[in-house]
Amino acid sequence: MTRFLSGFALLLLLTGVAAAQETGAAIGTIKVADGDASVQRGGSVTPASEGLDVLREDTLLTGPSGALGVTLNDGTLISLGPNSRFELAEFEFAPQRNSFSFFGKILEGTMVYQSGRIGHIAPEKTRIKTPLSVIAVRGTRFAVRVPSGAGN
Amino acid sequence: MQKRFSAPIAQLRPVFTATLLALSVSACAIGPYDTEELAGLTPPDSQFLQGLSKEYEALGDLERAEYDWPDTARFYDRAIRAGKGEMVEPEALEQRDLEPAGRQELKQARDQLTELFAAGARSIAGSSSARAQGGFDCWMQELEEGHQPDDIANCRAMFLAALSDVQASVKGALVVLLPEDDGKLGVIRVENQQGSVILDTLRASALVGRADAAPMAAGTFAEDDVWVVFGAAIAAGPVPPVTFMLYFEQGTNVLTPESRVLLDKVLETIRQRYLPQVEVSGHTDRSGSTAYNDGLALDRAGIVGEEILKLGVPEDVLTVESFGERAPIVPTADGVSEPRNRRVEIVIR
Repeated sequence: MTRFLSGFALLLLLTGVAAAQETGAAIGTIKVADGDASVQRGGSVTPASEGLDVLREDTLLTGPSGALGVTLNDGTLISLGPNSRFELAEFEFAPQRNSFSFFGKILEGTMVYQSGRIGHIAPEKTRIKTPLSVIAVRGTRFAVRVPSGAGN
Repeated sequence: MQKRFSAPIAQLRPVFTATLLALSVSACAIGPYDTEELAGLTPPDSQFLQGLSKEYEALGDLERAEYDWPDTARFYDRAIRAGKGEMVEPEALEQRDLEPAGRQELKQARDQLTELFAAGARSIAGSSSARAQGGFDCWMQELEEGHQPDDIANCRAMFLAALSDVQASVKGALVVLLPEDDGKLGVIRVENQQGSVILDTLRASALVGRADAAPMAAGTFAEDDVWVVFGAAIAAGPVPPVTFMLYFEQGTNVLTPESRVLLDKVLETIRQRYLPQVEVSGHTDRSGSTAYNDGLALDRAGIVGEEILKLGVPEDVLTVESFGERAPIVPTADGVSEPRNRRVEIVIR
């Protein structure tokens, strides 16, 4: 019915592409920050605030009372409930070069994902990883819960 | 679950019954002392609530056989509420008069159960969740009475067995397909090296519990449970982006009359959006050279960009790009004039 590129083949591709991408440019903005919420960038963790830019490879973190909502540059919406960790591993949105990819990892907690243009234009290059699976996305909205200590 | 009436005073039952009935009237609401109300009802669209209603009905039947009218009413009331679709919670500890030691164990048990419920157990493992809740309420009721060790042990065992079934089902990551704001539903596939599950119906769910087993389809997730499990994440969801299209007169950077009107709505939308980010991209049709069209598209985008900056939004929230004739809405041969392609797209995030 629906054809998807193998998630694992894609993961390999994405890993190869990662090195070639520029770092440092904003890929989205924090629109909602509630309670205990922060952004981990490299080795440092900064409190999340509404309006703060997020970059590729940032990890979004929430504590027991925290929640976060992020709008990425292609219109993808990511929001997290309490006690959650989500890594923005890959993001490429360059319509001029016809180059698109999104790869995120939900490490623990709850997350709601809603596709932006990448998910609609290039579903084969859109993946969300949980510790024991990969979710291939075809322009849509879904929720994931990963219990703490789910392992990798 | 015999209690209250020891053999020597069994002949006094009618008197006791009447007294208890009178007491129960003042202590709790009157009845119900049967579950006839359930007979005409359509069962709820939830395996959990169907199971729970039956569990409570069975517990009520047992208490009625023992003339324990307050507990009969208590369980039947819960059976009816569950049967009508109400998400009845495990009974609260404050509702029963308990010894400290028993209370401690029950508190732990209730916490374990509610934690599993918060992880979606009532949707994923409806029957065993219902048995666990029935077992818990029964255990607590027997413990309050405190003089039937076998009944206490049986209810406790029923709870523990059901709880371990629930735990076995709820392990691992849970994925639920949700509708978009406009009700549209997409498709996702959850996969690992062992296999995959495709989710393409409303609130279809999958569980991934182990690396050495394929993801498993876990049925339709209850709407209530979507809020129980994902409510905080859903509430933190940003407002979805909005897209507008403005059209231009051929070969010019002059908006069509309709689009000039629409521009006001675009500006109003930006004004009202919290922390707006705006992306403006200019496009042309394929009449004229590629190079000319690149310039014209940028000109069109720039004019709209200027209007947006006049709103006082910071410059860095605005991006203006030209796609020239390279991204048509309606593909045409070169040289063709096509009004639908002479546009500026505005995405407000």
